[in-house]
Amino acid sequence: MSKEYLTVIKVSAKLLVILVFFDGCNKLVTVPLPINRVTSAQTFSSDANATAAMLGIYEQMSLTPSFSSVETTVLAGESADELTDRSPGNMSQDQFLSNTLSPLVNSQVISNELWQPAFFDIFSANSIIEGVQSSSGITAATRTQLIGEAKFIRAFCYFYLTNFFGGLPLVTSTDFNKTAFLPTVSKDSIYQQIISDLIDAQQLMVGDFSFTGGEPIRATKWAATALLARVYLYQQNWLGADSAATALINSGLFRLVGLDTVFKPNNQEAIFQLQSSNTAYPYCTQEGYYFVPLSPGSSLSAWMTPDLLTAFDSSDQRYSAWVECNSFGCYPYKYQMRTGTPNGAENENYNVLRLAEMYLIRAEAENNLGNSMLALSDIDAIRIRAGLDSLSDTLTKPQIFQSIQQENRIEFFAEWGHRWFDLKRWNIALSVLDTIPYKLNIRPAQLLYPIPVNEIQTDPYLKQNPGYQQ
Amino acid sequence: MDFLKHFALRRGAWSNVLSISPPPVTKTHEPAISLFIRTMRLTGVLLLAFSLHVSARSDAQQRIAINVKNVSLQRLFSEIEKKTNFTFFYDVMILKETKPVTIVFKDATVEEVLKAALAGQALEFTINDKTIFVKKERKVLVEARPLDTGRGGVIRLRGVVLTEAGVPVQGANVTIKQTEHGTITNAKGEFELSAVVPGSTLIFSYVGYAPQSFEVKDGSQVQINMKVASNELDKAVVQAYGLTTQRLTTSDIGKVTAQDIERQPVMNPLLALQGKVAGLDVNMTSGYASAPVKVELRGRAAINPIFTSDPLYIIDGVPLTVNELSPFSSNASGSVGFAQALSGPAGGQSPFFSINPSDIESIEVLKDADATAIYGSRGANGVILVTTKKGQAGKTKLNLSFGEGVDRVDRFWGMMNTSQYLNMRRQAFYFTGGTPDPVYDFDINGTWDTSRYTNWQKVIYGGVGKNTNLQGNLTGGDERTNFRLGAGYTRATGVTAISGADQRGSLSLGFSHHSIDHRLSINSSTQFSYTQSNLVTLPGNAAMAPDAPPIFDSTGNLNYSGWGGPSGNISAEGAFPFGGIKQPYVAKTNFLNSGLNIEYDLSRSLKFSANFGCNIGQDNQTLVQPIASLNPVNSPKGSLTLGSTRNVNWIIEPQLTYASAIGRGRFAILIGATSEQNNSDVINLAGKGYTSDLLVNSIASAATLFANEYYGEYKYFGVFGRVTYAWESKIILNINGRRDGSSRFGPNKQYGNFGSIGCAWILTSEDYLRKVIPSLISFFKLRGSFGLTGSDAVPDYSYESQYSASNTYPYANQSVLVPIINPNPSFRWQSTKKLEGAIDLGLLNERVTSHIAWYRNRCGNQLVPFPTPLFTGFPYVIENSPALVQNTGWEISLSANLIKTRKFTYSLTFNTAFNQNKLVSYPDFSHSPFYSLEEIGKPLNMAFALHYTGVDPETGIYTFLDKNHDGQISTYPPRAATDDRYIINLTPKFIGGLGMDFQYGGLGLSLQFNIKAQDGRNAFINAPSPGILNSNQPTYIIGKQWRFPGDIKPYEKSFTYSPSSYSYFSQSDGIYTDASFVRLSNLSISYNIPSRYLGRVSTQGCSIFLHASNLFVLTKYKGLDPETQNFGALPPIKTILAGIVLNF
Repeated sequence: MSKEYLTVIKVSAKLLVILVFFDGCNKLVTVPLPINRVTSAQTFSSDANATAAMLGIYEQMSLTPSFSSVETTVLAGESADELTDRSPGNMSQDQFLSNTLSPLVNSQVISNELWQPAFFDIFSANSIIEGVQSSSGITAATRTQLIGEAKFIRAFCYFYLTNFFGGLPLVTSTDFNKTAFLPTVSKDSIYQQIISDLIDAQQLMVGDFSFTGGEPIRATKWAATALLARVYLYQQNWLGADSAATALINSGLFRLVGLDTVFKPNNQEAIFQLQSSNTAYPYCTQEGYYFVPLSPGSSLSAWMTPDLLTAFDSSDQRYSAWVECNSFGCYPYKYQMRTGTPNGAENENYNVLRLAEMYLIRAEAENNLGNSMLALSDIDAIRIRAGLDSLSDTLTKPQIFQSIQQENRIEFFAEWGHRWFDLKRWNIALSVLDTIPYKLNIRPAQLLYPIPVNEIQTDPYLKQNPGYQQ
Repeated sequence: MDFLKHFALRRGAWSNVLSISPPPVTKTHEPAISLFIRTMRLTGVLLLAFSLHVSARSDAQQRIAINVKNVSLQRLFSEIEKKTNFTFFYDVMILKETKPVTIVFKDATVEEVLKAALAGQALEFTINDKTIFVKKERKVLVEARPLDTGRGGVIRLRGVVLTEAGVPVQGANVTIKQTEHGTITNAKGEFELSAVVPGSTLIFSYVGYAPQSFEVKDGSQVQINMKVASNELDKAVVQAYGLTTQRLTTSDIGKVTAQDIERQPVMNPLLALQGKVAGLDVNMTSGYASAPVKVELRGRAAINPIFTSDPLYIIDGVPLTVNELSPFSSNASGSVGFAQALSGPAGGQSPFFSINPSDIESIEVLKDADATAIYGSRGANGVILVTTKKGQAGKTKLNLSFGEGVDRVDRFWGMMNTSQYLNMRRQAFYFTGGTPDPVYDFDINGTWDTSRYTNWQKVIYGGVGKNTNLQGNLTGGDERTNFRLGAGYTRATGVTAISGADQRGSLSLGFSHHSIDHRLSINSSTQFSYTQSNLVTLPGNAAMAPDAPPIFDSTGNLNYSGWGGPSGNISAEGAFPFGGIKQPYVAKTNFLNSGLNIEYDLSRSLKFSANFGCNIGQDNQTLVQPIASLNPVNSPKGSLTLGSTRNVNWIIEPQLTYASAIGRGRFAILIGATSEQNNSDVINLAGKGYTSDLLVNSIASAATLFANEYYGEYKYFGVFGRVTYAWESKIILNINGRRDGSSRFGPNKQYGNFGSIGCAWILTSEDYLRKVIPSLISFFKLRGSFGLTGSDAVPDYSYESQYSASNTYPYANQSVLVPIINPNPSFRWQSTKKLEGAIDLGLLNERVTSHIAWYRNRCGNQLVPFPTPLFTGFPYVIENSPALVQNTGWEISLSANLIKTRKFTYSLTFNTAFNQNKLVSYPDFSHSPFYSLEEIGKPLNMAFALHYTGVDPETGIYTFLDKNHDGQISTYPPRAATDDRYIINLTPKFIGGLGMDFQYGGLGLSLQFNIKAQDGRNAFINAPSPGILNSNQPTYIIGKQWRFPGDIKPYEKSFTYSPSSYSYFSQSDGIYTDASFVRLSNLSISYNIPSRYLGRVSTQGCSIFLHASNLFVLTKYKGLDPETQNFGALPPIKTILAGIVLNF
C-alpha cells in the first residue's frame, strides 16, 4: 500500500514541477504584427521607412482640419478681429467670437482641433527622435536630418500650443508611464524647450531643398531659422530675431515673389509649405476648402470682419489679390481652390513659413534696437510688393511700430493666427478687441484658451488656466 | 445517449476513474470470453440503440399464428417479422450451426414461439420493445479458478462488468463495501480482487450508470450488467476533458440535453438555453434569427464595456474563438461573430447561428472555479461545452423530421389614430405658440393627406413569416466502427414589410472506431454549415405619423415624392424612412468545425490521448444602396459595400491520464498541453459614386473605392493538470492547475498561473450520518471550490509600438507611416477569484434532486483601455486597472419526477439565480475613466438619474428634485456638486426558469417559462417628446397630459419641439419602470403514433409535434416587450412550428 502512495506522491510532485516551472516556449505565444502594421523597430530599421514615418507627420498635419491646417487660422481669427462666426447660433462656435470660452462647452472643439492634433504630432516627433537614435540601420545623414525635422516639428507644435494655452505639460517622450501625469510647466519653460529644439534643428537639418526635389515641402535648417526668428521676436530678443531673420534673407535661397504667386506651390518666397494631397479630397488646402464658397453665389463658412476690410489701404493690391467678395460678404482668397483635381499638378500647397515675415520680424527688431532706417527699408520691401508707397524716413519709433502692426495685420490676415498672437504679444488685445460690440468686456484671462476638461480630469497635476476653474 | 457516454468515456472520462487491469485471463479461456464479449457488444449496442430510439410501445404478448416446417431459423425469423411489428437482430454467424425447425402454433405469443424454436439450439433471445435479439446462449462468463482460499479464508475473485447490452465497461469502480478497498476494470471490463472475504458486498459504480451491489459467496462467479442511470444525480455530465456525474462531481455544472434543445423552434442553439440553467442569462438583441445573442453567466465581471462577456465556447473540444476586430461587438450587444466587416440590419451575426441545434447532444455550462480553472486563461466568464451527436452502432437507422410553421409578432400596442395624433399636434402648437410651418410641419400643413390612417406597426412588422425546418439523420455501424450523418435545412422568413430570410443548411458527420483490443480508439466529428441572411434595414421605430403617405407609390417605387406631397416638399421627402428597404443586405457564411480525438492505452493505468481540431468561419457581406433607394431630388449616386471576414482556429491538445485505485480511494491524474492559434482577417471594400443602378453590384464599376482592413492573430499555449482523489466515495478532492501563455501580452508577461481546488463530502455515504439524516433525504452532498481563472480580453498587439500606413495618403510622392497606438508592454492577465459552496440534494431515492449554490466571483487586475491625457499622444492605453468587481449570489435548481407511472409521467424543473454585482473598490476612482459611469459599492449596470417629481400643475412641465438645493436642476458635469442625479440599479433582481413535462402514453407536453425580475426603460420614454413632428405616441398618454393650470397629470403638455424639461425627464427615474416578466418561451406537444396505426408502413416509429416559442409574456410592462425595451423596433417573434418525425 505504501508503495502506491509513493507513486501518487511521485506523480503529483512531477506534475507540480511541470506546472510551476514550465516556462513555456515563447514562440508558441508570439505572433507577428499583421501585414498592415509594422513595429517601431521595423520602422526605424532603414532610411526609407524612417523617412516614411517623418513624412507621416507632414501628411497628418496637412490632411485633416487641425491646428496645422485651417483651424488655427479660423479659431484665432475669430478670437481676434479678423473673422466672423462660421456657424452663428452654435454656442460652441459663438464663444470663440465673443471670447467667452468655457471649458464645459468648448473643450470638445479645442481638444479635437488644436490640442489633440498638436500633441499627436509631438508624439510622432518624439517617436522619431527615440526611434532614430536607437536605430543602427540608418545612415548618418538621414539620422541627423530626421532628428532635426522631428525637433523642428516638436518646437513648431509647442509654439502654437503655448501661444494658445500658455503653460503646458512638456512631453518629450512617447512612454506614457513618463508622460501621463506631467505637470503644467510655465510658458517660459516651454519656450526654452522650443529654442533648444530649434537650435538643434538648425544644426542638424540640411540647408537646401535638393532632398525634396527643390520643393520646400519638408522642414530644413531655414524653417528652423525662420521659426527661431519669430520665437526670439515674441520673446523680445531683438538681436536674436534680427540675426535669424537676416540669415534667412541673406541666404540667397528666398525672395519676395509677386502677390499672385505667394500662395502657389514651390514659390521662392516659401520657406516651408505643407503639401496638399493629390489623392485625398479636397486635393488642395483645407483652408481653400474652408473659405472659398462652393459657387460664387454660395454662402460662406466665415466672413472677414468690417474692421479688417476697412484696414486695407485703398491702393493696397493685397486686397484685390487676396480678398474676394460675394453677396454674403468678403472672404480670404489667398488660397483660391476649394477643391483641386485628383492627381492634378496645379493643386495648391499650404504656406507655413514664408520670407515676408522675416522682413517684418527684422523691421520690428531693428526698430526696437533703434535702427529705424533699417526697419523702414524692411517694411518698404513688403509695402512696395503690395503696390504701396515707401514710408517716410521721418517716422518716429512708435510710428514705425504702428506701421509694422498695420503691415503684419494686412500681410498675414487670416494666416496662421498671426493677428491673435500679435495682439497678445503687443499687449493691445484688450484695447483693440474691447471696441468690438460682440467682444465687450473682454478680460485678460480670456486671452488664453482653456485647457480641455478631460485632460484636467485624467491628469490631476495639470492646471486649468486662470478664469476657467469650475 | 449511452453511446455518447461510451465515446466520451473513450475520450477522456478515463481520467476521472481508475484502472488497474488484472493479469490477462488464462489463455484457454480467452476465445470464449472474447467471442462472448464481441457478441454481447454487438447485440448490446443494438439493443441500446433501439431502446432509446424506438419509443412506440411494443407488445411482447402479441399473439400470432405460425406454421412452418423444417425451415432455417433465419426463415422463421423473417416469417415472424412479417406477421408482427418485431424486428430481429442477430449475427448470421451464430445461426450457422443451428438446426432447421418445425413450428406450429395457432395462437401463441412470440415469446412462446421463439422458446420452442430455440430450444436446444444453444441460442437465447431477449425482447426489447419491438426488437428481438438473438444471441449465443450465455455461457459461464468467467471460468472461475478454483476459488483460492488464502490466509484468513479470503478468496481471489475475478469478474467482468458489462453494460446491460453487454458492452464492456472500462474503468468501472469495484469496491468491497466492508473494507472500502477496491479496483477498477480494464478495457475489457475485467477486474480481479485478490483478497475478498466471502460474504462481503461488492459495489460496482461507473459514471452515468446506476451503482450495483453484489454479495460474494463461495464459488461465486461475477458478472455485472450495469444499467444506465435514470436519475439526475447519476446521469453522465460532460466536464472539462472528461465525464462526471452530479453525484460525484466537485464542480458546478449545468446541463441542457438534446431533448430540451430540439423541441425549441429556434435557429440559434444559444437561445435554447434561455431559462434552462441557473445563473445563465441569455438575451436576444433583436428579432432577427441570425442576430447576436448576449450571454452572461453569473453577472458581468469586466468593467470594460468594449469586450463581450461571453463564456468560452468549446464545440467537441474545439474552442470557438472569434477575434473581435471590428468596432461592432460590445458587452451590451454580444459578439457579431463572423460578420465583422459590416454591422448590417441585424447588428451582426451570432457565431452560433452557424450551428444546427439538431446536431447537439448536450450543452454543459461550467460555472465555478473547479469546473473552469482547467481552462485557465479563459474560464473567467464560465465555459460552455457543446457536444455533438455521435454515431450509434446497430441497424442503419434513418430519422427524418419535417417541420413547417409561422412566425409573427402579436404584441402590438395602441398608438394614436390620425385624429388623436393631429389633436396632440394642435395642442402642441397651442402650448408652444405659433402655427404650423408651411414647409416643415408637413404632417399637418396640408402636404400630407390628414384623412389617411396607417398603423405603421402592422405595416412594418405585421406580416406572417414562414418557418421551415427539415432534418435528417443516418446512424449505423457496429460496436467498433460507427457513424452518424446529419443534414439539416432551416429557413425563417421575416415578419417585416419586405421579407428577407435567414437560412441555414448544414451537414455533420460523426465517426468512431476502436481497435479490436480496445487499446486504440478514434473519434471524430465534423459540422459544416452554410447560412445566408437576406435582410433589409427598416426604420428604427414604427412611430411615424399615422397620416404619413404609403411606402410605395402607384408604380411600386419608393414614395419619396408622395411624402413630399403635391407641392414637392423636400423636407417631407427627407423624412421618408424607408430607403433601407430597397437596400438589400446579404450575409453568406460558411462554417466548418472539426474535432478529432485519438486515444491509446499505453499500459494498464496510463493512457495517451490527443485532441486535434479546427473551426473555420468565412463570411461575405454585401450591402447595396442603389440610386432607386435614395431620394431622387438629391441626384444621388449609388454605393456598394462588400465585407469579408475569415476566422480560423486550430487546436492541438496532447494529454496523459493515469488512474488507479489506491487504498480506500480512487486516484486519477490528467496532464496535458494545449496549443491554439487563431487567425482572423476582415476586409471592407466600399465602392461609391455609381451613376447607374445597372452595375451597382459590381465593385470594379465604382467611381471610387475605399478599403479598410483588420487583422488579428492570436496564439496561446498552456499546460494543465488535474488530480482527483475520491476517498471511499465519501470525500472527493479535485485539484486543477494550469499555466497559460497568450500572445496578447508583451514579453515576459505572457504566462500566468491558474488553478483551483474543489472538495465534496457525501454525507449520506457516512454510515454514522446516514442514521441521523431522515430517510426522505437519499443523497446529501456538501461541495466547495476555490480557484483562480483569467482573461486576456484585450485587442491583439496592444503591447507593441507600431506604425501603419492604413488610411493614409502619400506625402512628397512617398507612402507614409503613422504611429497608431500608445503601446504598453507591461499589462498582464486579468484574474478572477471564484469561491463557491453548495449543497446537492437527492430526495425520495433521487426522484427529486436539487442544487443550492452560493458563489462569490471577484475580478481584479481588470484589463481596460485606461484613459491617458491626449497630450501623451493617444486617448488611452491598455492597462490593468485596479478595479475590483464582485459578483455574488445564490442559485437554486430543482428537478423532480413528481409522477411516474407506467402510462403517465409528470416532471418539473425549476431554477433561479440571484446575482448581486458590485464594484467593490477602485483606487483613485475619481481619475478613472469610469468615474462618470460607475460608483464604488454599486453594480456595474447602473445609471445616474434625476428624481422625477411630477408635472408642475401651474406650468405643465416636468419637475425634478433639486437634490443639492442649489436652485437649479443640473446633470452636468457628471458627479460634480452641481449634478442633481442619484444612482439607480439596473441589474436584474433575479432570473429563472420553470419547465414542466407531461407524458401520457405517447402524448407529451412540455412547457418552459423564462422568468426575470428587473427594472428597465419604459417604452414610452424611448419615444420622442409628445407633440413633435412626425412622431406618433401611444394611446395611453391620451388624457394624461397636462392641459390647464391646476391640472394634475403624469405627462407634461405637448410641445412642437423637444423641450429641455423633456431631456431632463429622459435622464430621470421617470423613464424606468418594472420590466419584470414571465415568458412562455417554449411549448411543445408531441404524439407518438401507435404502431397499430402505422400499418404496413415500414417505419420504426413516427411522431408528430407542435413546437412554439414565445407564446405569451406576462408582464406589467407597457409597450412591445419588457426584454428588448424598444419603443417601436422589431420585438421578439412568436414562432409556431408543426411537423412529423419518422424513423426508418
